[in-house]
Amino acid sequence: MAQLRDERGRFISAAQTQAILDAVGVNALDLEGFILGSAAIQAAKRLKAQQVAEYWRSIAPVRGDHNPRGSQEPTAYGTNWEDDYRDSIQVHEDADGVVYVGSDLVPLADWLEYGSIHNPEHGYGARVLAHFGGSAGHFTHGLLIG
Amino acid sequence: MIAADCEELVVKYLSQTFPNVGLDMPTTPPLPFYLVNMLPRSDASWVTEHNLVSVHVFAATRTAAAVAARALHAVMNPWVFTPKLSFAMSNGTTAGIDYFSIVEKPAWRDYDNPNLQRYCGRYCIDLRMNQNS
Repeated sequence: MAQLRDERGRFISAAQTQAILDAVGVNALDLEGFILGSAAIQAAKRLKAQQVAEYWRSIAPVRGDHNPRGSQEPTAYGTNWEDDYRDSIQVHEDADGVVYVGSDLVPLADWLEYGSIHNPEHGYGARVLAHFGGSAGHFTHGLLIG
Repeated sequence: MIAADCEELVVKYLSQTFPNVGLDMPTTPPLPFYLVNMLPRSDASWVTEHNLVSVHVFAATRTAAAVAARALHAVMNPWVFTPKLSFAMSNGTTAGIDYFSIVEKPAWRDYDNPNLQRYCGRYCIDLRMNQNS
């Protein structure tokens, strides 16, 4: 909290600051309400993240038609199941409350997002961002919820 | 056509600055090469068509690609790629952009080709519906 100053510009103590806040109605109950509000906000972020993840999975490709070798043997990059990419799209939450949605199936997720010498650019993450009204922002293959 | 072709518009705009711009990736592209690709997301109202366009910058080295990407960023930003510009399209109409924003600033993206380094930028470009287009 920024240290407040009195009418003559002198810094005032924390106790005086608390007294001023109490006088204008910011008291313990408000703080408790703020904390409860934060929990509600966090739940809302998780709910939105689930909606984003569900939509992303709905447009994500399942290899199916693009498996000329018919093989599901593991590759150098990991497992090789036909729904690896779709299932890799998950909701993540950091310890500090940051919620984001994305795939950590690298490099496949990057190649599907931006294309490569092997395949065209599909931009699934970008399409999800656009679907939910996101505009300018930074993402690789994960979308920041908040 | 209801709105102008966004890919054509971007190619035309970038070609004013860069010599090697296209919609097709040549087998051996002249470098640096600017590849324009409209993503399969294009929703429209009666008034506006929203387009999501990627521009890929290819060069032989990471440094050359970074330099080319900076040049791209200098012309693909809201301060210069603005509704003030108009473009004569191949169908004889004149088109302008309605709204422009940077979705992703050009950044290095793996192309899985040791001979080509790539930067990719993404842009939201809104075009006004015009039945004469």
